[in-house]
Amino acid sequence: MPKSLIRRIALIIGAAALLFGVVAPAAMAATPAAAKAVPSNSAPAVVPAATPAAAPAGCSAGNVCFWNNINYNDGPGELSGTNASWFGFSHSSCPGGSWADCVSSIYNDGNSCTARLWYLTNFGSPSFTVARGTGYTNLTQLGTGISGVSWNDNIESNDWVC
Amino acid sequence: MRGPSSLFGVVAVSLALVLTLAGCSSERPASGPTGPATVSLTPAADDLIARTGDYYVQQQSLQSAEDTLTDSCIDAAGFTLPASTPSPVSRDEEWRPDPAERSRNGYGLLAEAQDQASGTAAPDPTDEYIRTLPVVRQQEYHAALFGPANTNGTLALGGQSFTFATRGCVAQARTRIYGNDTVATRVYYLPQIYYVQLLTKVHTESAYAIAMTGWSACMRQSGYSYSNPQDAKSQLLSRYRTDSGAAATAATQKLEITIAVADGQCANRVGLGSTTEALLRAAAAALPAADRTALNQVAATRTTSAQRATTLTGR
Repeated sequence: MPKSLIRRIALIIGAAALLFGVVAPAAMAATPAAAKAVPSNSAPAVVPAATPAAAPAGCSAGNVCFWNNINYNDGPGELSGTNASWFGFSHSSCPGGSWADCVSSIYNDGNSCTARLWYLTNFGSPSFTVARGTGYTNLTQLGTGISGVSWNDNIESNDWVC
Repeated sequence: MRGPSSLFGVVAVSLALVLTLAGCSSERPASGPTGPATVSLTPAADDLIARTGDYYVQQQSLQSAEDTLTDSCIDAAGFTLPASTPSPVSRDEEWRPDPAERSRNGYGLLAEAQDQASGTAAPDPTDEYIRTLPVVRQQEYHAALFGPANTNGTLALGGQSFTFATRGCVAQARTRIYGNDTVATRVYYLPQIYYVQLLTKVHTESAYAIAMTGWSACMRQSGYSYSNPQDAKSQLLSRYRTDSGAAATAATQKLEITIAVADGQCANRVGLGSTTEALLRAAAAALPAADRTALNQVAATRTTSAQRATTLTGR
């Protein structure tokens, strides 16, 4: 079930407030640290389970970092703040041109807080959290609970739980 | 912590027409051994999914212990952290509002709006302290916290893979609390994976849709027209963005608290919390045996870890 279709259904039944949930990028308060990108690579490397993995390259201390591909590949974008919409954080290799609905792996390099990621803009549910010093290498395998829909390419906003 | 909910609640009935939720299907983290078909969820696992019983007490113990032990370790590494008290764990769920938190902070949107406006997270004392350090010391701090580069571990959980720090103060703290850092990662992530998926499934149940319809009608009686709590939050966030000046922001915050309290009262009146709890338990009970076994195991480990956390910190 594509997110766009879910939105259309919601609109059809009169969830008018969703209009705020697909706010245009210009209305977003952006964190400058976002959208630091590296060129897209080809097939991502596979990190064998149960073996030490390299710390995600390029992920700066204090930030939640995210990549276009699984296994921390093609990125990272980085955020230190709270952001109600990721549509304004550009990344050239993302299909929509922004980090919104484009993240496949994510790591919390924050110093003291838990990162929380939201399915929709404006902190629209569902959400999941990433403890500091940990990360998901493959969001394609993390279900949202919606049939057939994973968290892959489905994050649109973030905040922190401290 | 604010719980997931909202959009899918209000659109539950319509979504149910087009979504075919088949439990947690292939995305479920059935990584535990396959248990007997008759295995039942333990009370601890039941509480873990419905966030009842000792759930929040355990969460507080685990979080406080990790923070306290990590801070002590950082201090021992030569950093002088500002004095802090453990942050209280929020008991406010979107589907089961906490009256005290709603009266105090509303939905907590003011902080979100201010963070957005400033482009940074609200000033955390630890972050502020780190920013005062020279760059080299900041790097040393980070290494003390998470260990040197190339020392992360990986946990395969079901079909999923998690990276986690295996060295440094955070890993040491987690090892003392949970036994080892791999178990800590499992206890953190496995319940969340189930909770997110089961709650989304609950939002498609007719009983939930009925409760949410009742909530919306109740809110209208209080003078507010929202189809679900997310509507209220979105509109309030939008209002914060257009506020100019402290007075306008204060007025919006007052409105936010009023609406959030009314939201809680309506949720209580229509039984949104109890309905959701019951649906979560039923959805968990309907999981395959291997998942129920995994949930029982992680709930037992969490209970033991929380007891150890209390012993370690005296809290």
